[in-house]
Amino acid sequence: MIRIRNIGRQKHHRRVRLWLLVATLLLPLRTFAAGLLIVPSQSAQPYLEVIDRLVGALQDSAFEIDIMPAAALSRQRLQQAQLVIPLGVDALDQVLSLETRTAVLAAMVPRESFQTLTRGLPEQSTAIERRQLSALYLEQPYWRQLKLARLIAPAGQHLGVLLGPHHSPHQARLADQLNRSGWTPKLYPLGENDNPLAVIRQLVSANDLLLAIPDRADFNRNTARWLLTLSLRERIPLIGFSRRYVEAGATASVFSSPATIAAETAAIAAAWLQDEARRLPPPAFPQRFDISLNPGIAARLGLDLPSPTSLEQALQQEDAP
Amino acid sequence: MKLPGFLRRAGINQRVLLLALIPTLLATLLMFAFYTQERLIDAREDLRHDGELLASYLAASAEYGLLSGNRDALRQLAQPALTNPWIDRVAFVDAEGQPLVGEQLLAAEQIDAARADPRSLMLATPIHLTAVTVEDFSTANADTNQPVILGWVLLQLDDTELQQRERTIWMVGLLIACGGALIAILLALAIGRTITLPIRRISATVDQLHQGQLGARTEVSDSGELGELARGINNLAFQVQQTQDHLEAEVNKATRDLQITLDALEAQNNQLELARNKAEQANRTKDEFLARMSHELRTPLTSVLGFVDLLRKTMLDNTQQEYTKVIGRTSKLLLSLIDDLLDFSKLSSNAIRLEQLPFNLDACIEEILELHLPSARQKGIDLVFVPDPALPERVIGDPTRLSQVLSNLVGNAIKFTQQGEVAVTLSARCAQSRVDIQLEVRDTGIGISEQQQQHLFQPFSQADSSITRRFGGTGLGLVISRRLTELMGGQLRLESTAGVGTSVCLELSFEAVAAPPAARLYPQLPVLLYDRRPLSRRALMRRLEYLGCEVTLMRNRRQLLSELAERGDHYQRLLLSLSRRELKALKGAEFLQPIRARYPHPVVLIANLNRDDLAEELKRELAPLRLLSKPFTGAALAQSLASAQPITVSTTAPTSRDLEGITVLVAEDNHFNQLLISRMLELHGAHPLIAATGREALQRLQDEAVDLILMDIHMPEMDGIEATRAIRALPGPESGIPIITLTAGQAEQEARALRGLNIAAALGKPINEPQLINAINSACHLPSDSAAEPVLQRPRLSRYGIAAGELGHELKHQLAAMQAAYDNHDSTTMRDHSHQLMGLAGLLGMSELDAAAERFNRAVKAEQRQQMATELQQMAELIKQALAG
Repeated sequence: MIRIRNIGRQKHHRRVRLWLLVATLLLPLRTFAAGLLIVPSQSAQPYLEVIDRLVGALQDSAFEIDIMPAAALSRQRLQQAQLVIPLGVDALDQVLSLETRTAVLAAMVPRESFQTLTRGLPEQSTAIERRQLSALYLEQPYWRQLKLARLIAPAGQHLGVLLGPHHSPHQARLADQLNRSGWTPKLYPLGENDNPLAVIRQLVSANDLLLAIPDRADFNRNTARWLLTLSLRERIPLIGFSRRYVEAGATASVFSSPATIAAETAAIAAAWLQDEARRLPPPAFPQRFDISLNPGIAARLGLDLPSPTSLEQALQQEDAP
Repeated sequence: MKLPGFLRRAGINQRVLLLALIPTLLATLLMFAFYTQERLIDAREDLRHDGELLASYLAASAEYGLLSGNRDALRQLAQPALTNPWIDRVAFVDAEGQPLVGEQLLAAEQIDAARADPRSLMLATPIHLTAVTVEDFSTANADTNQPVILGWVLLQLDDTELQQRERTIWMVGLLIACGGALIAILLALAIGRTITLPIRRISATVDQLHQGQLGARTEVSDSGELGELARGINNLAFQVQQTQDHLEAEVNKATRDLQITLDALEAQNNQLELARNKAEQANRTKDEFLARMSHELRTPLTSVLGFVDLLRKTMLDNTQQEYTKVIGRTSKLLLSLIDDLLDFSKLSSNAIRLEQLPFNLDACIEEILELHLPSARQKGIDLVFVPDPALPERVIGDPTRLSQVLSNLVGNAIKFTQQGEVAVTLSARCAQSRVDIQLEVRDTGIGISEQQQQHLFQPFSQADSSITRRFGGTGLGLVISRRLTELMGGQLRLESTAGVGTSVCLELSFEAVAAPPAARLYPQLPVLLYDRRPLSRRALMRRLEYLGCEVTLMRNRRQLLSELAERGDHYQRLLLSLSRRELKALKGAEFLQPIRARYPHPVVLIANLNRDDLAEELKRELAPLRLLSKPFTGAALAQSLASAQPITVSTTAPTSRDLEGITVLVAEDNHFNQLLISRMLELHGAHPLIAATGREALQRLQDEAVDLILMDIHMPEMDGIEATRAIRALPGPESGIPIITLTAGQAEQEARALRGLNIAAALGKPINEPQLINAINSACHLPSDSAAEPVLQRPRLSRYGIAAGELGHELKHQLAAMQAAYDNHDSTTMRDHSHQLMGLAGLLGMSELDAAAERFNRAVKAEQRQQMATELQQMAELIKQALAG
């Protein structure tokens, strides 16, 4: 078992990567003790950053931290851990499929996906109820995005949202939150056979601000260009849900970064460790967030945006509706 | 590996050309094909690439137009694209293939096929919905996200420019390929020449060497294998030239050696030629010597014989008669010895030439037997001839030589037989125009042992040396006979048993003269023959059959008497052939009387009648009786059958007028000889004309009609040979007159000179009257009634009315004339008279005088006066003796 303590961030990254490789190669020879097991879905950069930060955050804790790729995970190994943190949907799916009684704290999992994986499984529901299964959702809550929209366009009245074909089950929750946010929401569902440009044109032309909400990746990508292009052409601010959206041309975004995810996950894990009952909190949206602004776009839109820090503080103050 | 036929027939140049060209052209062709194809593909791909590039731009630009359905925007996009000359048509279609702008170039289902065809000029590029990644964390479904196709940009490319470009590519490619091929050909030719030129030079050099120009060398301009070959050829030529030079030197040396040897051989040949000439000269001298010797020996011998004959007819007492007989016998023996020696000599020097004359073989044999009758009678032995009726009447051969052989064999048989018989049996077998005869002479003589037979045919060898003492002879008879037989193409075999007898078999082949069968003298005359002795009986039977008689044979007296009693009248003739013993038993006519009593016709008695008194007695008792004394001839038998008178055998031929009406020109220089020959001719009724020289004879021929010429060979002015030649050359019928030559010599050269001049006969001197008359008869084709006695006989002058004094006078005249000429050194006269004396002596058989005259003649020619004087004296002595005798 490798323990990682007090090393610099960059060093951590390299060590984690190296450790992950060695752990993969020596897996059959090793015997694991109980402790914290981190199970990433993949070894992509954001995951590695999250692991790195998570390990960094927990290095002073009583956890014996271990990392194992989802593909190499075994029931025995899982049973040896006291707490497992699957990172991503695939890792959660793998952990759940092994059906152990080890406590599971899922991270980097969208709410929709978590619910889909645990829905209909009584064991999981029981586990959630027993506070042995929980999740820190990947996306920010709608209300936080709506708050940011209000901060960006304080005078705005009509807010348009483009909905994908698979978003209809959550349409009611969204509408509810929109109604409560003080905006006049206009939802534009886009069918598979609809001309997206025509729908987006309508969306842009009829609203003061556009809100992009996370949907299936293809839908997000295929509609993003025209949402960005037409909103810019019509000088309508667009609030995205990721750093990349801002970089692509959105006016602003509130989102979870690897650092905030890792910090919040570490905090939950530490709380779990300190809890004698070893109970986890219920699944929830992240408490922490990041804000990203596109000053160039804002200038073209003629918006005078507050600084990100002030926006963050404003959001934190106004947290939880 | 077997080369194709055209490549085997090709020369090196062509092969090198092919070797260089085929790979080069193949490579050029392949390169041309490859690069042209590549460029064509590139051109097409360039076009497509440009098209695809343009299409991708159009597709990117068309997203909005397509999403918004803004056809104007799409049309505006298409318009500038169509300004490109390589763009034929542009169309925008939606995802279902429905055209938004432009024509419907492709149906939706054809788009995939057009995209898959890399050569298609129809380009279809999808128009995608542009995707923008907006997630910070990728989720599971993000990777499977496929771009959304909004529609298609269709570009129809115009290949007009492409085709133009392709044509240019082809042209350039072809030009480069042709240029490459041309360079390859030129290079191949150049390389080929570098190979073939040295080979041709080498080949030309080899040809020159082959034609013998060994100095020829090839140029060595190459350092490679061809250079080595050229150097090798040059070395070889050098060695061949050296060898040739060496050989030439050797040949020249050998030729010189050979020339030296040839010169030596030529010198040797010349010496041999000289030696041969000398030998031939010596041989000729020997021939002449032999001829002369024989002549000189024969002349006195014939003289002796003549005088013995004369002496017998004088009054002699018994002792003298006996001595005379001995002298005669020994002289004849000597004469035959000389003849044998002469013949042997001629045979040895191949000087004998056979004649080819038609003759009667039966008659010839009978003549020989007749010749030997006296000696056979004298010894009391039977001489029997058994003829063969199958023999043709006349055959072609040399009767003289056959007679000589047969006479020798019969003479031997009689000589070596004391009692009994000598039988000559003829067997003839005719085949086409030839007849093969077998003549057997069998005797009951002393015989010859086998050991003695081995030496029998060697010259000068007799069976026993004692034989020479007892019987005489040279021992040459059989040798001569055998050689003559072989000369005639036959063979002579001898079988003998000592004490029993000898049989000599002569086998010869003659050409038969085609003639009708001879008429039988007594056709179917019934004849009864009595003879107890088988051989005699056989001979008689043959002869009687030959005459045509029908013969009935009686073998004993009882049978004879019985036949006579029964059929005596049937037989027209009765022949009684009695042996000596039977003849002795005739006493008291016990044998003949019963016959006479039964047979009244003439009886022919054939017996060995030596005693005249017995004959007389028989004639008296058995008249009419015809006596035929044994041995007898066929003619005598025939005569005895016909004649009613008893037969008497005369030893001298009666003079007859058988040359009646014949004119004979006698060319003879000697007066005495002229007289003698004239008288001989006149005795026989002929009319002689005289010419003293050859020239005179020619003259007489022009004035007189002459039937025959007697030509002396040795005459003054023009000799007989020359005269004969002149007569034969005459234009008129005189050229064909028969000529009989008279010569005292036996020289072969005379015979050779006469050969070819159509001489009827050549008679030797001394002149034998019967021979002369027979020869004249034969030459003038007159019947000859008597066989000439071949005994050399000196003519009896008294018979011709010439006195002995006339001869003496003539001889003296000649001698005196020679003496006078000798004294006057008159060679011509000496030669003339010596010649006349030679002729005179020869004609009269005075051989010693003849020889002396010839010696004198030669001495005159050689101008040896000493010799002349000696010979004159010798001649005077001889003449004196002759006249005294």
